[in-house]
Amino acid sequence: MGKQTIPEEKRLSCDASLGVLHTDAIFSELNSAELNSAKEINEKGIDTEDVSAPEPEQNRSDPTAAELQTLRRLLLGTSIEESVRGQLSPKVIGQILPAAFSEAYERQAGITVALTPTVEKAIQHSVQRDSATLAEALFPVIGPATRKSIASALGSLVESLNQTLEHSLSLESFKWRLEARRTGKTFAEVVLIRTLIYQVEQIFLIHKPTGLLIQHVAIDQIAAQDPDLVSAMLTAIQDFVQDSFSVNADESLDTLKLGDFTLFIESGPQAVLAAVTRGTAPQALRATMRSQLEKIHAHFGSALRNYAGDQTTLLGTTAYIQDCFQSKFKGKQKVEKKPLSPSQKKLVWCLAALLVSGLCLRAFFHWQSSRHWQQFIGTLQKEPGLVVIDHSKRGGTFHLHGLRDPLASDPQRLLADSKLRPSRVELSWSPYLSLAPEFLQYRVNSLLSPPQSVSIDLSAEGVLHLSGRATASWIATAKRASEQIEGISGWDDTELVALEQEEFLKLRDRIEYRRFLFTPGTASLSSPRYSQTLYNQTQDIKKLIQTATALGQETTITLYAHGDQRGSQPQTLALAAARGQYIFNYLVEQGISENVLQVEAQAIKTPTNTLADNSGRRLAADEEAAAYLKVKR
Amino acid sequence: MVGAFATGKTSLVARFVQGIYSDKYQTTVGVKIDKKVVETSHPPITMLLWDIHGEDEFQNVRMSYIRGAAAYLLVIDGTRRATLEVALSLQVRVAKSIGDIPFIAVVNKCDLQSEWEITAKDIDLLKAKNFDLVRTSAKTDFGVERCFQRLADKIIATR
Repeated sequence: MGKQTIPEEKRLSCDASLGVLHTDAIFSELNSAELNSAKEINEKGIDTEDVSAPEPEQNRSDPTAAELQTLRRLLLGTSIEESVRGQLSPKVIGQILPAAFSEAYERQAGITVALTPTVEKAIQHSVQRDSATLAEALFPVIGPATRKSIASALGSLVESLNQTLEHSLSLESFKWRLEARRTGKTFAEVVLIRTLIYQVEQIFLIHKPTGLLIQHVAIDQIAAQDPDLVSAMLTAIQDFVQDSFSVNADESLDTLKLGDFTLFIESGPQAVLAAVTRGTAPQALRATMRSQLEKIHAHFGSALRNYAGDQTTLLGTTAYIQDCFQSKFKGKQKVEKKPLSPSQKKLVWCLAALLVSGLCLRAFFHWQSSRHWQQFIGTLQKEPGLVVIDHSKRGGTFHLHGLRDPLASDPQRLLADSKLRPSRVELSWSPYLSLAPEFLQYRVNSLLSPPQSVSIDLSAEGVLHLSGRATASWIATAKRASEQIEGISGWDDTELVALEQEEFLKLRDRIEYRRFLFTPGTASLSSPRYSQTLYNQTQDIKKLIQTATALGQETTITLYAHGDQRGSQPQTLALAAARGQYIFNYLVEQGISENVLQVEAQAIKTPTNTLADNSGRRLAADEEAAAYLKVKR
Repeated sequence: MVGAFATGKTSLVARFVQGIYSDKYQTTVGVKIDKKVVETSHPPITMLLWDIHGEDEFQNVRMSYIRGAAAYLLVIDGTRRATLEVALSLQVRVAKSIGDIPFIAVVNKCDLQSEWEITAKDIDLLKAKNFDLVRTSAKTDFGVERCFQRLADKIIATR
């Protein structure tokens, strides 16, 4: 009979009991004493039918134990060892092993841990035996895995290089260099830490086969879109990319970038983890996501496979997702500030004091330069012929625009006299004519160039008042010129005397003063000295005519001649006429035009009181008769 | 939502989700996704409606968009018989791609019943195929709620 004699119902119960055994349990069972004893039984060739096998010594001395043994044999028909051995045939184990593994895996009862050493040994053995087999099997996996790893490493390197370059010349970099020195880190490290300014704002865990949302976690401040829709849309985009660009089935979209946002997508067989980040997220985030996704797959494998939209079945995944948020904060807090040593503190205080005094100085200089600028503008505004239109300060330089009369003072000279730095001042001028009295006066003087004998005063109304002496020609020219000067409204020369006029009057007085005396009863001059007087008279008359011409006047000279009263009236008149004719003839002979001369003979005796000549002497007896001239204008 | 182009898939979704209708035709490119919670005899279910671009001679409906669906509406334009043929072929392709999942054949545009090209015979044919039929009009809001409701019930029934 042997093993086959075990009743059917007993075998079933044994099957059922083995069904729940774990692998390690099976191994331990196999090593158990029962198995050993079963072996012994086999080796001893004990027939299973032999129910009267000799009892063990101790049992024999114990009647109760012997009875129990007998009872057991009677009930089971054979020993337990034998029946277990019968059930553990390779065929039976082969049948139940897959189901046993699967059951053990479902219950997460550590089968993975139990199998790990064996699998490791097996792989080791396989490699030792023939490495080609395993290499061949792994070949399709190793390529993409290596590529991905290298790409990821290069991506991180490029990112770090970019950040370093971007920040190596900024003000920040100076701060970071100090920080690197203080904390003993390399500059590159500090740059990396300080530039990891990014925020994971939302994380989606998406069921890959259906595109349904499993979990969504967002930081509080974010006004998120309906995560269900985002999840579905993201899945649609993934599908679209895969369909459109005929990529391999295991390749999928892993990054989406839009402005400041980056969407990192990590795909697993059952679930997809998508992180919405703002700023420059490091590649390390991707590594964290990958590891979290792997953990989610490991812990929620069956729930993920059976997921049909009920998010409560996978609430446990939230803890893993939260880790992706945390990883971002670690980066930021890495740099710990060492407390400052006393000497460093002193240095900091010194620097701070320097900085503060520097700032104060700067503020003072700023205030001072502003004050100087205002003073300079005041000076310009007071200066005649300069008009300030507008002024401003741009980028440390003062700008001013204004009008400038060509006669005004040089603004650059005024600037040099001020306390401003000329290099920080930019002046621009448009030319114009100022009507300031001093400029008018200057222009009048330079245009009229009056002789020293003339003084010109300018009234507030713009009227020129002239006084002094000047030639008539200058007066005429100057009057015409003054009308051309802008700002001059009148000409007053009441107090101005033409030099010719004066000369004329002097000559006239001299001419009219002279007396010519005749020998009584004759038409001849009483003394030869009168010849000289007559000659002088001729010269003066010539000058007088010239002066009158210069003054634009016409002159006539009347010659009065008197007779004496010794003879009769007609005789006296004839004598007077002869005497007048005598002088007339002389004058004409000397080149004086007849037209200017008139002769008037008078039969009277020249009054004695009018006869006083230049010397004032009394007339002699032979000097009674006289002739004289009068000038008429 | 699957069906030939211009059968009214987007309009049905817009009417169902937002309660609006526009006469202006706008073709869907790729896929548009909406969400609506539907009450059932069981706890309410959240429907994520994938409004997939219509099938025409230039592009076929991508089966990747169907993958993972719990159920679908097969939309037919009552005024164009060709859309029925497209729907039948689509149904076969969908079933082949993701298996037998619940669906409802929707004959839309019943406000234009006078212009219908689909005859009673065609309807009988669909019934013979054991298709669940609902007549709708996105324009008049006729049957819209009902078709989605019935789809929701079918989903619940399979769970």
